[in-house]
Amino acid sequence: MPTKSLFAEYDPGENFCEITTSAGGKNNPVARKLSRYNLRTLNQRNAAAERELKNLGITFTVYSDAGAIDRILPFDPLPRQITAADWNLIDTGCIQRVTALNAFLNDVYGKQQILKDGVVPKALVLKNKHFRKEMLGVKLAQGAYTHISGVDLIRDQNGEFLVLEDNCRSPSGVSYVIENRHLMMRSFPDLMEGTKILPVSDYGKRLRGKLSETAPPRIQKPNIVLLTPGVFNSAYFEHVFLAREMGVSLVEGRDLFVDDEDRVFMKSISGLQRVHLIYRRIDDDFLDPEVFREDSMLGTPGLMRALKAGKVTIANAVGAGVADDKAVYAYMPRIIDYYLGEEPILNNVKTWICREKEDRAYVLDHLDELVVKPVGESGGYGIVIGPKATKAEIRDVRKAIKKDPANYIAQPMISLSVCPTLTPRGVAPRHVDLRPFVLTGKDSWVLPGGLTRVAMREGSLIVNSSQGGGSKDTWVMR
Amino acid sequence: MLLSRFAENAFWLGRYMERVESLARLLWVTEAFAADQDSGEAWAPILSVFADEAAFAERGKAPTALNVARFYLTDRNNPNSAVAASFMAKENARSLRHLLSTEAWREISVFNDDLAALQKRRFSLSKLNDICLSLRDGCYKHRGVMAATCYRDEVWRFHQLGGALERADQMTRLIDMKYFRFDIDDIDDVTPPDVAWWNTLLRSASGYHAFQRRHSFNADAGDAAHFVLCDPYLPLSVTNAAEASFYQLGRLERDFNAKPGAAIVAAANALESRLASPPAKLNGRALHRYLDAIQQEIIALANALNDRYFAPAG
Repeated sequence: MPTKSLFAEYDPGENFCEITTSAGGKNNPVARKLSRYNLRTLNQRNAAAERELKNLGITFTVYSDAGAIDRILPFDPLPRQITAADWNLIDTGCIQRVTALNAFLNDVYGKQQILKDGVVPKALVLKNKHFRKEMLGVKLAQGAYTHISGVDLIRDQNGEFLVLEDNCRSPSGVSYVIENRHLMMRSFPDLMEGTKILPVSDYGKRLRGKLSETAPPRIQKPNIVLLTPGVFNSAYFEHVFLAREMGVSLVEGRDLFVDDEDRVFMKSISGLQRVHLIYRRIDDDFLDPEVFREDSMLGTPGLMRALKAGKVTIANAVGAGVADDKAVYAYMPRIIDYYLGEEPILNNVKTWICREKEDRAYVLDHLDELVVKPVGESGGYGIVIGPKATKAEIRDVRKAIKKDPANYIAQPMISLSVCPTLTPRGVAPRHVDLRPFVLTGKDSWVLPGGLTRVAMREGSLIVNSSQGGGSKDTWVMR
Repeated sequence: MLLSRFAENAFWLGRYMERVESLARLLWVTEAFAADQDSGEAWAPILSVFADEAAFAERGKAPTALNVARFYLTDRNNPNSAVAASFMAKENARSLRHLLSTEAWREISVFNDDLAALQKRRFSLSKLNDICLSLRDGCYKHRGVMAATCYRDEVWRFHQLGGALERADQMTRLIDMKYFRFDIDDIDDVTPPDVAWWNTLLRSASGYHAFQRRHSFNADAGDAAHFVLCDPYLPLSVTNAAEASFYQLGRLERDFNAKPGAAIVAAANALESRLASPPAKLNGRALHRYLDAIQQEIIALANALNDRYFAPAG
């Protein structure tokens, strides 16, 4: 008797499936190989993989009275695949987008031409909580503001990739991309054998290379450090991972020191050592108590002096967050056109801007169909999903929009694509998104694939790890 | 160039793991000897050696073998316990993780989890021997994985330096268990430990057979003390551990230009000459005072290391 296919009872319904709809459907090579596994093997290997994640400390840490608990990000052993043609689109689309974002940031902290031309409302930028007036007129090496960017993509029912959100501050998750691949190579060597996938393992080298291109002038071999808030930060593993992959020091604010000549040093066992570039994983607010929050214990006094004096590069640049605001996002098609004179390669999800009168009227008329998002929030907080909201929630959000329209955007309800996922009841469709990572120095490079986040709960569209999402290995086919 | 903070983490990772190992050894010696002697009083001296009488008393339990052993193995609130030391080792390793081999982190993490699981399983006295040996073996594994996988950079040197100093310090405490009472004035009838106790200690330090080879059949307690303190070839001897720490200091200067400075040199010299000139008779009060002096020199050296490498001005 032939073995039952793993996908025998798998039904993605109306959704676009990354394995069984994409690339020739169930006959594509990855789908065929996967279908030969039985559930028991899959569960066993998955359990072994998760144990290994824990032992290797590929974890985020939760501190409580009982001590430190290391938790793993749930891992799903069924990979997501991206065809070469799809990847070409994502690759060029992400580079186009990040090029425009950097041009926009150079402009708003420089001549502010886009504001003068009325393409983007002045108040949207200048009154944005991520706008840093301290950066006005500061010249940055290569004009790089967002050195490391994450472009969050979703895929609609027709299989079109759409940009959901830009991340220009400290996009996280790249460590899982690489560790998930290592884990798959260890756990599923038979599946990987003969499958042609673009590699992800040189990310650290690429990152160091791209960052080096943005070192202060005349520095040939910059001393790069990664600035972490410390072991209590939930993303600490990623900081460890990146410092290790780049071969640079992982420092905390207290390890750095800025002298009277605005030079940055780190305190070493042989005295003070000069630092030229800081890849920081702490927010602007905590970076420099001389300029921002005085009570910050995480930063180092004087970093902004050093930055303005051109003696250190800070990546991502201070103030880059103004570009990834959800309100600015809505203007991205116009921003791409303004700076590059191009059509967007990757479209935005259709977005209504509540500060604009016509859009607002439409939104208020269609609240029960739309997804309303407060701008300036992240991690999926504060979102009202019209079709699933109660009458009271609709009433509240209507009131809120009328009171402060500039604080809201709305988007249609889009069903994210799905991917076969191992669940306690067998293989079932679960919604996924995709976060490719873009590195920018003299030019930009995109890590093939990116982080596929998966909503582990049936029907859930929320993939954020802070709300129970997991991740998958992401295969870009050659 | 290594950050001062990481040098300190590496140093303490070495110290804390060594502390777990020494604790396992100390409990093993006590248990092995007490079982032999049927003596309920064998356990209280541990509390004295670590100055833990008050902390133990707070728990309101009699100093029985089981209570003291639990206090030192699984009591999370006792900073001198194995589970607390292991936790601290892991936290130091966590800060240092990007500079450790993945194998080393994995081993530290698994070791810590295993030890933490121990507290949930209420162990009985009959299992103490096995628990101590498996803890000790876990520490050996740590040393082995570090030796097999760690890049020989400053992190390695500081880790070895911390381990060596802790080893020297803990060995003096192990011996002092039977000698500290000689220095308490109102006790004038202290019985020195007999050969049987020394044999147990020698076995715990993996030195029993070497001692038999080195010494005639009528060797006494003083010879055993001299062997464990001053023998340059016994891995766990105080002299050997101190020499290992001096060697690491030399390599730090030579390979990484981490100059020790006058205070460290002076402290190391003081410790070295102290170990080179033990008192003529290594017994009773003289031995206790000698152990005490060695401990003071080790503390002075650790303080000098702190001032120079771990907490520099800036």
